[in-house]
Amino acid sequence: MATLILALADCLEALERNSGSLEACVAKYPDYQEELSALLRLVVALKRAPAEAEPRDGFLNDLRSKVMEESKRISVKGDEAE
Amino acid sequence: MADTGTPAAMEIVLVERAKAGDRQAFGELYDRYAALTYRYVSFMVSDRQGAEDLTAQTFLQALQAIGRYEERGIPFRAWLLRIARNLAINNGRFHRNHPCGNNGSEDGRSIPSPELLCEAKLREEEVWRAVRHLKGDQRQVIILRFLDGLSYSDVSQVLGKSIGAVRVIQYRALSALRRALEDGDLGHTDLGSGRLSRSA
Repeated sequence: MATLILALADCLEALERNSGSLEACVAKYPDYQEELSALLRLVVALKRAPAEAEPRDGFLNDLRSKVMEESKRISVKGDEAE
Repeated sequence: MADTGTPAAMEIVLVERAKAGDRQAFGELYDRYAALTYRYVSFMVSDRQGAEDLTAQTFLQALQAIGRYEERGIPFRAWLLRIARNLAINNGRFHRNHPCGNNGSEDGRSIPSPELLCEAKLREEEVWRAVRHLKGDQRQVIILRFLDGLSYSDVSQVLGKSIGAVRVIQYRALSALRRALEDGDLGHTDLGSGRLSRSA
């Protein structure tokens, strides 16, 4: 089990560095080939963000304005305290 | 002389400027991490409004607290996401499991049958729907690692766990997902083109 966990971590790290294909990494661990392949296929699917995880149009811009306004308020408050 | 040209070094400079009260610098940090934060919290709450509220609270709290932030091996984004996590937990908004109730997903459908998955081949929506059914830490590791693209080190900082523990949780989470989706139906994904880097 521990070796499989490390094999999975190794393959993911290697692939995130773009230093090889999934098949090449799986081939390094013949004892875990089937499970490792299945888990890595799953990761490929997970790398595609679902629509529900994306904010609605305009939300991030609106929030930016709010955050910047708040930072201005804090800045003014700080100046007054000095 | 310190290298200020790398993204990490540039971020440290940005953070220092923001700590000193440079509003534009904080705005740049917001631009870097707002979408990432939204993605993270969207899987911790049950609806869009909750995700928006939590994202807003996170940045407003970060704004208040950034003067006290010290890098000390905790990157800014890990610090930011830790704020989001704590807010979700403290506000009672964090779904530890089954955010959609016992009947399955938000649209009333349960995790799809193997037959349906087979017909549809691999549909990311179904995989992500299954993610919502993972236990708290497992769900967070999946989101942070594969949706937000954080390193093991950064995830360990967000969750307050060791890197080894994060690796174990990652394995258990993927195994749980595999079981939920019934292995074999994921075999349609093209491994050969499975480069894992992703743009933010």
